[in-house]
Amino acid sequence: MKISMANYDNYSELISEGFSIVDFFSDTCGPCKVFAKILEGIAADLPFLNIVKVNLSNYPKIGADLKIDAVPTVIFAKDGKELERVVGLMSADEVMEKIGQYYYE
Amino acid sequence: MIYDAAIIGSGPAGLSAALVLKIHEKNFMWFGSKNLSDKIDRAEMVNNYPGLPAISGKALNQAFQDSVKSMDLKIEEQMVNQIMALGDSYAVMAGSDFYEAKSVILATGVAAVGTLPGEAELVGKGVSYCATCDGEFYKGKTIAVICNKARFEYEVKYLADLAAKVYYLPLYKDVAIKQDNIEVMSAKAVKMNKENGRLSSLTLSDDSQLDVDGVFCLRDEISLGTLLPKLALEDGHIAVNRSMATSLKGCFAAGDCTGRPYQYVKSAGEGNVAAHSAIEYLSTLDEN
Repeated sequence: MKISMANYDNYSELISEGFSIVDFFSDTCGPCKVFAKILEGIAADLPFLNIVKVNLSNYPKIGADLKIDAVPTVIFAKDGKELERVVGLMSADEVMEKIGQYYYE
Repeated sequence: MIYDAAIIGSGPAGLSAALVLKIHEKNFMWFGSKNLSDKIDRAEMVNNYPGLPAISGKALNQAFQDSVKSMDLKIEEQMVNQIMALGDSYAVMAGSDFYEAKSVILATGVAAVGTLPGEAELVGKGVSYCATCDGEFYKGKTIAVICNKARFEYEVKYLADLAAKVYYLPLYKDVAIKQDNIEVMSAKAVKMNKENGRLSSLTLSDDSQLDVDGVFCLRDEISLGTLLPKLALEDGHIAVNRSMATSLKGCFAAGDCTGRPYQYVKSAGEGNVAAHSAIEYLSTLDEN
């Protein structure tokens, strides 16, 4: 597992199985770039995690369908179903806490 | 590239820190206003700045400008809207990008403008502080923009080019921006209202109500708790020790943001200490 880039065709499939961390971002969002760095660090430490990134500048409909209108937004999901969403930049510690909370649920 | 330091704020504390870092040939970013400090400009007379007896605020600010020129210091005017500790460095977010620095010196002063009733709980639910982050989501929609400084008008234009309609609520005089879809309001926003968990409208000072899809608050003063998460505060100010070190490793603070007395010469002194502490901190990184 690594960091996958979603598009209109593969989004549902990418998050369909198991625990996923979905990172919604846009091209002009500064904090999103910081979060990308944080996610890369987490992915390196925990390579088994399924991390999916959605660029809402390119695929706005995915965000609109999920009623997302602020970035960064992170959705923690299991088998395609949303467990929790966090709007705004999260620290590495905060992400790790969510992983600990949800991964084995 | 990773800078040695980032200074946030261009009042006397930030300037003092910048002078020290420049002398020690550190590679740093200095964020603030090219006018340095509007507050100082408005001060009538300063009698307790050693070396500059009975000086007007305007003249004092000019003296500070002379220091900036003499040391060839550069000020980055983008608004820093968030800082995050990344472990070995800090990410300083300004505009649509971020700068990485090994240390941070906070010289942000004290915020005169607080948040509006209803605002805090609606962040991310119709309230945004970051035009480049969230502007896109309001394409073709109606938004309000609250802005407290003329120098952020370029961000208002960015939003107005995306939204169908902008109700502009400036907190300064001499509004320069003019565009067909921008309506400059004379009343001020006093409250944010919600419906179904999201922002629905703003109540204005003339008792009227503005129905909007979203509101952007562009202020150069941001609550310290929002700016840098986990930063220890005390009585609404940043908690520091005598070395101007905060609770976060590699993060220092100086000036009004650390507490009273709110005096220019105190700020300048603290900026000097904070910069020396940052330099010492950087040398410990080199050793490791």
